[in-house]
Amino acid sequence: MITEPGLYADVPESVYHRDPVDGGSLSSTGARRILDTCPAKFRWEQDNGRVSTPAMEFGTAAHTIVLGTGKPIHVMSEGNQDFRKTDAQIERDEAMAGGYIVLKQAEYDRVMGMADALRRHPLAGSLFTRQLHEGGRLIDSGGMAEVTGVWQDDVTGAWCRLRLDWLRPPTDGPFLLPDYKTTTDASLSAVEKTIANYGYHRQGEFYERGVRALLPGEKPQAVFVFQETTAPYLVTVVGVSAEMRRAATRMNRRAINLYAECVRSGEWPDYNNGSIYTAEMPVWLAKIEGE
Amino acid sequence: MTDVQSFTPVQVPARVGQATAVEQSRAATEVLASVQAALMFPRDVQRSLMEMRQSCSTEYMAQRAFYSYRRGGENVAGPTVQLARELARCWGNVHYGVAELSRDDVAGQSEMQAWAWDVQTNERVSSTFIVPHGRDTKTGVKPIEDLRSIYENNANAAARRLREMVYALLPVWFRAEAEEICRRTMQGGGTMTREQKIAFYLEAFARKSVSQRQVEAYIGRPADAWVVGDIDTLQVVFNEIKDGVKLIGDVFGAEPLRDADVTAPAVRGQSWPVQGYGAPDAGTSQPLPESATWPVTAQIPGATGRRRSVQEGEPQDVPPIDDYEGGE
Repeated sequence: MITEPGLYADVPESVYHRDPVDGGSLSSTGARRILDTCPAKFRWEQDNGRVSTPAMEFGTAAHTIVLGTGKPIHVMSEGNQDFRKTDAQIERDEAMAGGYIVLKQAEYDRVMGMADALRRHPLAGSLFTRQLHEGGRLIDSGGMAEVTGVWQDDVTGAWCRLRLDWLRPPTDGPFLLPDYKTTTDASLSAVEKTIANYGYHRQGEFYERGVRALLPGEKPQAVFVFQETTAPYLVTVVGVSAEMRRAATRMNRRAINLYAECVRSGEWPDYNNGSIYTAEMPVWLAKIEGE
Repeated sequence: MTDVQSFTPVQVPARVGQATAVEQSRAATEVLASVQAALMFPRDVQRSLMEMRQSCSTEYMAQRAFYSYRRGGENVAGPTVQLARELARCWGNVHYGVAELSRDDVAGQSEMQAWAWDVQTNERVSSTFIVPHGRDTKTGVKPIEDLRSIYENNANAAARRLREMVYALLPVWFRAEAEEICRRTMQGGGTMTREQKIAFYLEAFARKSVSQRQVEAYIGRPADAWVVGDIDTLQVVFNEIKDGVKLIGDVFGAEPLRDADVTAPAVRGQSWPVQGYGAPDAGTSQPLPESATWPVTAQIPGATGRRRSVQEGEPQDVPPIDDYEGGE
C-alpha cells in the first residue's frame, strides 16, 4: 500500500490497476470513465475490473517488448497456433495462469517488427532511448519504464495516481512524458480522431498535472507515440494543441472534483441520479423526421 | 380542508423606493417624448452614413471594431459591442440598454434583459437571459459571490447580448459597410509594409513573452506565409490583450513541440527522485543487464516454438488492463 505521494518504480502492473493507494485514488482512465459514463459505473469497474479484449492483450505485449519492462512472453509452440485445438488451449491457459503474455508466432513476429520500426524512427527512437553509452560504456540508464506516481490534488485533497510508460531522464529540451499507443491507423486524421475518441489529451493532461505536483517547478508535456500494428509499422509522434490542453484541463478538474465529492458523500450516482429522463430528438433524427 | 391563500400572479417588489417611483414616471414620459422627438427630427440617412464612414476611418475605432478568439482549431471573429454602440450612435434615433431584472443569490444567477429600440420606426428587439454567477477557470466553474465581480460578470454577458440586439436593429448593409471600412482602415493604417507589420507584431508579442512559435501556432501558419487577414487577426488580439479584454495565457498556449525538443539529449548523471515500491512481488520486473541494447526484449520463453513448461520464471498476475484501447 502506498500512503505517501511520490514516484515509485517496480509497482507491478496488476497492483497499480487494483489501486495501490491506501483509501483509493483516481487514475487517468478513471477520470475519463467517471465523466464519460457515470460515478456508479466507474465505481463498479474500480471494484471489479474491466474486461480485457484481445486488442488490449496485443497492446500489452507491444508495450512489454517495446519498452522492455521485463514481463515474460510466451510464444505458442509451432503445432499450437490454433486456439480451437484442445492442445493449444491447454498451452495457452497454462501460460496465462503462469502470468505470461501469450502470443501466437505471427503476433510475436509482428510485435518484434514493431519494436524494430520504432527504434529506427528518428523521433520515437530517441523518446524511448533506454541507455546512454559513451565509448561503449554505459553511463546512464536513460530512463525508466512504467513509473507509478501518486499525489494529492491541491484543490480537493483527492488522491490521484498515474503510470508513465516511460520516465525520461532530465534533458536539454522540454520535459516530455511519452506514451506509447498501438493503433490500426497512424495517419494524422485518424490519430486526431483517436485522441478525441479515447480522450488521450485528457490522459496527457492528467499525467502532466501529476508530474507537476510531484516535481514542483517542472513543466512536463505529454507526447504520444502512435504505431500501426501492421507492416510497415508506421509511427506518428503527436503533441496536443493549446486548445485541446485547455479543454483537457477543464475536464480533468471536473473529474477530480466529482470523484472527491463522491468519496466525501459516499454516493456514486448513476447516469441520471436515479431520476426519470425525457429523451430529446437528436439533430440527425430531426433532419429525417422533424417538422 | 384546504386553506385558501391569496395569489398574486405577478411578483411585485415589497417596497418601492422613492428613486424607483420617480424612475417609473420618468420612464413613461421619456418613452412618449423620445417617440415624438424622433418624429420631429427623423434621421438623415446620408448624414448617418457620413458619420459612420468618418468614425470607421479612425484607427482608434477600427482597431476596436473586431474581436477574435480560437475555438475548434479555428479563429472565431466578429464585430465588437464597441462598434455596435458607435453604429447605433451614427444611425441615430436608436435607444439601447441592458437591465438586471432580478438577482437570485441563492441560485447564484441574475435574470437580465438587453434591448435596442428604433424610436423612429418603433421597432424594438429584446432578449431576456440568465447569467449564472460563476466563472470558468482552469480548475472548473468557480462561483462568484462578491458584488463587484457579479456586476462585472453581468455586464460582460449583457454586452454580448446588447451587441446582438443593436445589430439586429441596424440595416445589414449599414453594418457591412462599416466593417469593410474598419478593415480597410486597419490594413491601410500607417505606412508600414506587410513585412514591417509582421516584424512589429512579433516584436510586440515578444515583449509580452509570447514567442514567434506561439503566435504562428495561433495563426496556424509560419510568419512568412501570413496573409493580410492574419495580420488583422493579430492586430485584434494584440489590442484585446492591451486593453485587458483577454489574458495572454488564455490566447496563447504552451509552445507546440518541435522535432528538436524530442531529440534533445539527456543531461548526464541527472535523474528524477524515484523510490522503490518494495513490494514482495516487485522483483517480477527483471533488472536490465548493462550490455542490453534497445529495445530490450525480456527473456522470451518458448520463442523457439518448442512446447515448454511455463513453471519457469516468477508467477505473475493476469495481464493488466490498461488504457491503450485506442486503435484495435
